[in-house]
Amino acid sequence: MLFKYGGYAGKILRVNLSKGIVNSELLREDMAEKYIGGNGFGARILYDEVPAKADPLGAENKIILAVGPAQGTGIPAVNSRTVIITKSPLNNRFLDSYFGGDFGAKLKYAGYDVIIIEGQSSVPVYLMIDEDRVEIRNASDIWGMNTFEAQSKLMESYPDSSTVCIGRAGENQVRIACTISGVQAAGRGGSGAVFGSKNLKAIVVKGSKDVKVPNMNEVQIYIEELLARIKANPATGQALPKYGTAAVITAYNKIGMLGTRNWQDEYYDGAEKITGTTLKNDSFVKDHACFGCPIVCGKVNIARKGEYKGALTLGPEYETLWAFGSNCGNNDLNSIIKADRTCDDYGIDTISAGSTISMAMECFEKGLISTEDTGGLMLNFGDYQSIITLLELIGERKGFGKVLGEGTVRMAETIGKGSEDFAIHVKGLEVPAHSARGVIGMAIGYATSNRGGSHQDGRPSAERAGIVDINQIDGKGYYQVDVQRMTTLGDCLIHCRMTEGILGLTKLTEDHIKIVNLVTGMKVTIKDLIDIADRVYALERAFNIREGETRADDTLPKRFMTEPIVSGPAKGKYVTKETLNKLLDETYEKRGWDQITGYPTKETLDRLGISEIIADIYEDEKEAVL
Amino acid sequence: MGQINVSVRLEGLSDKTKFILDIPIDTTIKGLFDQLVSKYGEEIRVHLYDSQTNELGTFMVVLNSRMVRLPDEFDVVLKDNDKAYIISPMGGG
Repeated sequence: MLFKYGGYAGKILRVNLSKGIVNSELLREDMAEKYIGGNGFGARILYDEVPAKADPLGAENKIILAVGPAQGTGIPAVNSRTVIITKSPLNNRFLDSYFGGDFGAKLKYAGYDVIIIEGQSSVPVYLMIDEDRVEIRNASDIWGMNTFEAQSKLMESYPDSSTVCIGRAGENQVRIACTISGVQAAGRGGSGAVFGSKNLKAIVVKGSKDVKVPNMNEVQIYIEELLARIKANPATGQALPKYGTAAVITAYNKIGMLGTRNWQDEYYDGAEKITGTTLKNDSFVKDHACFGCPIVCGKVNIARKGEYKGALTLGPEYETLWAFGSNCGNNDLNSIIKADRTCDDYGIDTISAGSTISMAMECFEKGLISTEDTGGLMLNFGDYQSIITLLELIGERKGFGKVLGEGTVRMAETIGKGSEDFAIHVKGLEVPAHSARGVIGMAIGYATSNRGGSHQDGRPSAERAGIVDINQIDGKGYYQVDVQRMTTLGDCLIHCRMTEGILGLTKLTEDHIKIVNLVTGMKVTIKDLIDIADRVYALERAFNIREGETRADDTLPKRFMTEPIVSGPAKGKYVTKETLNKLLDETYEKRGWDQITGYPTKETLDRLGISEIIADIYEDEKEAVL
Repeated sequence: MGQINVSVRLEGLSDKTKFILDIPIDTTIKGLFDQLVSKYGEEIRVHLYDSQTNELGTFMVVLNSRMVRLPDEFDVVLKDNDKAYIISPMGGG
């Protein structure tokens, strides 16, 4: 039976690993109407199906992979990304993590919008999806392999398929383990550990079904228009195809906002050796694109000299250059390439790994830990050989790597001695490479992100480009709500962040409306999309409230609020408690959240059409229901 | 008319990354862009302006370690030995 709206396959695949059974369910029309797809689907399903206080690494947690209506349609920017949604084992909160490649399109071609994985297998398995033929297969021959080796072996058996896979870090349930699809990562929050906890090594998908849209001619016209705009735009038509994302090292360092030595400073005097220009000149091998993407922002690089000569990787992207570069006081580019490859092999999030290692380096230099704790490793800033060794130990969950792999919060609990002051995280997720002290909109974006320390809910891009005043404080809370509405709806469509400048950098636009309406045949307005985004964000927030989250959790690392930037052009900047509170007030006011608790008010939940969750988070309503 | 000397670095944009320009006194940031386009033509213009709409592209300009907001600060006047960076702002990971 055809689904009411275009773009959707109309089916959910449910896989119970405890029982070893798979079922296909019909996607409900109201799910498409109220949540669009991707992140929206995942937020609703996770909220409904994973109970409060569930162990993220236990059988109660679920893994949801989802796409939106536009995946597989050929529309650039929204053609092939996939989201993984689960309860994070790193911070026990809602997690959505995204990856590029071709998995999303192939999942749609196989006839599914969503995969729900539940339970736990008693033996290592992988999931094979070939349209209506879905099997849970024994993975003993690929268990223990790194991500590339395992995927290569699977591709031999299933040509023309796409894979998502964990490495040894995921198998070992390292809390900062990620999942890898091809050569691209769903990096944040520990989704790899959840795969590992379920003994799920990989998912293979292939298919050849059509994606139906109401009027293919209109979609084709829009595709051509969008391609022309992407090509004409200096960022997507010139900069990203040539350099990828690495130029931001220079961008932030020139204005003194590049995290350095565990954010003790934000100006790195060794940055010249790890810039995008240096990377391109010294290490570039070839370009790499996601399925059907005209931008081609991926850059394959190789270490051409030194002890890591021959290390080949897709990247390092900007975040990784910062994580293992300036933030570890390391400007040996070849070691960063090797670190990136090591993380991809093991399936480790480069951002959390780099943050945890840089915190350990600060603890080492300040005498909180010694070589007795590190297994003999010297951990001074810039000790790049130690970085590589530590990544291997993290992946194997051995030695000091066992402590690091738990993330900064748990590592601080292990080390003690006041080391929590050096844990640079928000809500237990390590902060990425965007200055909260310098980019004030990013500060409030971090504090109110449902994931925690993520730059994918709030965004720094417009302030970094000077389109929005980077120094302005008043109104930045209101501003960042508009940005979060754009990212949330964008994550329901699953559009690539590289096209923000095309589709809308600071708010929802006519392009978002056009994509939804052209593909689905709905007739949504901006107000409809804002309501959908707010509904999804409120559900994520409610998921975290059930875990105990309140306004007090909407905060920043102590360092960002008490230690001014030490040197460089942004010297003296930090975020005061008063500033953060002002911006939280603005955010809550615009969102309709309670100023004291930070909960979405009952009126807001009712207005968003999710009054059924009121009793879950308001005690008085619980009693009324009972 | 007197001249000043200004260096311009492009990061993450074009293959050509360094420019040393002798430009008239009182040249503004906008004037600098015009000089670059005039001297290097399409090779530089495609990095500064959208070739479909002719609107200013999305990039970061740093003048002597100070971020310059465009187009609001197009009329900032350059001085001798100023160093300008024009940088792609596209991050990722």
